[in-house]
Amino acid sequence: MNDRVKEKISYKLPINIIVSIIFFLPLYWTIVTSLKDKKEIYTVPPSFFPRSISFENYKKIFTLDNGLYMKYFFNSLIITIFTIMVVSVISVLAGYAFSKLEIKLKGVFLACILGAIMIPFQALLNPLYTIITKLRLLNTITGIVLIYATFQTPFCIYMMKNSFDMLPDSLRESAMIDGASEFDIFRTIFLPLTWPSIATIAVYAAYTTWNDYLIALVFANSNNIKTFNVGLTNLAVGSYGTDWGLLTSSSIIGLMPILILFIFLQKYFIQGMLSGALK
Amino acid sequence: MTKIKRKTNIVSYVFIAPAVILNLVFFILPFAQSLLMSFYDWPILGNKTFVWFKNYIDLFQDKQVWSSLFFTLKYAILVTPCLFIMAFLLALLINGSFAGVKLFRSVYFAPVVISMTCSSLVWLWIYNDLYGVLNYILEKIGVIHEPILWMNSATTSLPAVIFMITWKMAGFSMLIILAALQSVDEQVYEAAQVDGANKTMQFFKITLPIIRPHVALALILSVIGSVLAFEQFLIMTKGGPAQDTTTIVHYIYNTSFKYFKLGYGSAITMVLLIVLGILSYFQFKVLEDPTN
Repeated sequence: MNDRVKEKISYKLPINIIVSIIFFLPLYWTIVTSLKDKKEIYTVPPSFFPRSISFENYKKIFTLDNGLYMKYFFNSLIITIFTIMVVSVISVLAGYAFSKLEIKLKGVFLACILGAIMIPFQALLNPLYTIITKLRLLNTITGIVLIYATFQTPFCIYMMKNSFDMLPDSLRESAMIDGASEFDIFRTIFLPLTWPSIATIAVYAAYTTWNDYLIALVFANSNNIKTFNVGLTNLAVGSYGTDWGLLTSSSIIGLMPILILFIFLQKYFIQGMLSGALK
Repeated sequence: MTKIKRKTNIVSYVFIAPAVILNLVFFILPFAQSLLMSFYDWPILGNKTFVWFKNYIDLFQDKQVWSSLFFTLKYAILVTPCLFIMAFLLALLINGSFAGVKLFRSVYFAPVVISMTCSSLVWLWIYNDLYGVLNYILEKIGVIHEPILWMNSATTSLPAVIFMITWKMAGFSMLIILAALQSVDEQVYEAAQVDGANKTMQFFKITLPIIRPHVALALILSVIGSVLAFEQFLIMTKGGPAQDTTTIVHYIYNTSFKYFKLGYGSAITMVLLIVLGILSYFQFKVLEDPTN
């Protein structure tokens, strides 16, 4: 047993160091490029360390078209925050009800909701588009948040249900004898015991929403509510498609919020991804 | 007592109401409508007309549908083994407890959390023909003598995208494989060692059979994800040249929202759903009987 561990230290560590550096290189190269000035970016041979650090490209993305990309960034932020809140509230309530409360046709409701895990949203874009248009929710924050919530809550409800399932029913029964109301039981007894799962679904909602491209492209195509990812793609395929200083700095801005969240809340990212895969 | 129970019941429905309403309006309803739409000539603006099977007849004659579907499946079949070999190696590399193992796991997993849009751009810059760092390195070490125009034909852009996806997504499969590896009881190895099995034998006779269902599941998830590929090709190749690298989701998007043919787009979506249905069937099979 001891030999096993020792042996791993001896040969795995240096390989891991090398592979990690290789994995980090693409990101390093993007950061370095974003900090160079225009002349240095288009120099052959490329410089692996910037000769002088310039934040010109970062200033440019936020002032371009009267701060349009700044606006896109805030749109993404607002949509993500609203989605996190809506997804968390809906999933916690429904997860609790499916786990602990008496509901007629529970199985049918649950099957319908979990069905949305099996059918990807990519297959429902067209009918969704006509429904959203009919409800006059096209190009509104409400519309896009509701669509995100529809396709994120199934997994989150499933996760919350499992989490409540692990708590004994007797907690509820004894509180009921004490005369506590249904909502109080939920709020004061069960909710505080499931915070780790709630954090997991909130993180899941955060990266799924922030990273989404296709839903935002279809349902938020006016400048007022366009998201950063959509703006970034317009930039790349549009007339700025060759301005790599701008494209690298905006890529870094686009990926940083989630990467920072990942650094601090790794555990919840991994938990969400794993249970998402093994559901 | 009956009064309390009644009250409880109403509260229960209040708890699930938001989830159920959302599901009905934005999932069940569109799901039902999608089949219906495929029988219509349904422009985004203007009147829709019922056209029976016209969309399906068109679909069978539309070469682009089949070449997109073929390209998407080709991509899925090629990217999956690359992903898995990489994921397997990474999982073996960080399976164990040694200094820095958590840091390495984070580094390998970090690309997974970055958006597809951003990672596509990151790599598009690396692949740039004139100023890209890849061409520079390849020329420097003498592999090539003049810059490769990576995105100019599907023969070079497909491997380039696959390489990017391997970097981006291997960490995800790595986690699943790692979880499987760590679920194997240490005592099993000790017993095998006593019986004289060496490391290689242990890996093939014990580790692989035990983790096989997990690996199979991760494989199917990766295939499903690849069949839905869109952004990586939109950004890196723009679907071109000559729509050679247009994936099926990309083509559905173009048909529906660029050429505004929602009915025809829905008919193509049905083809996608059939492909996904077949894949999901395999997914269920894998989950159903983990020993088989």
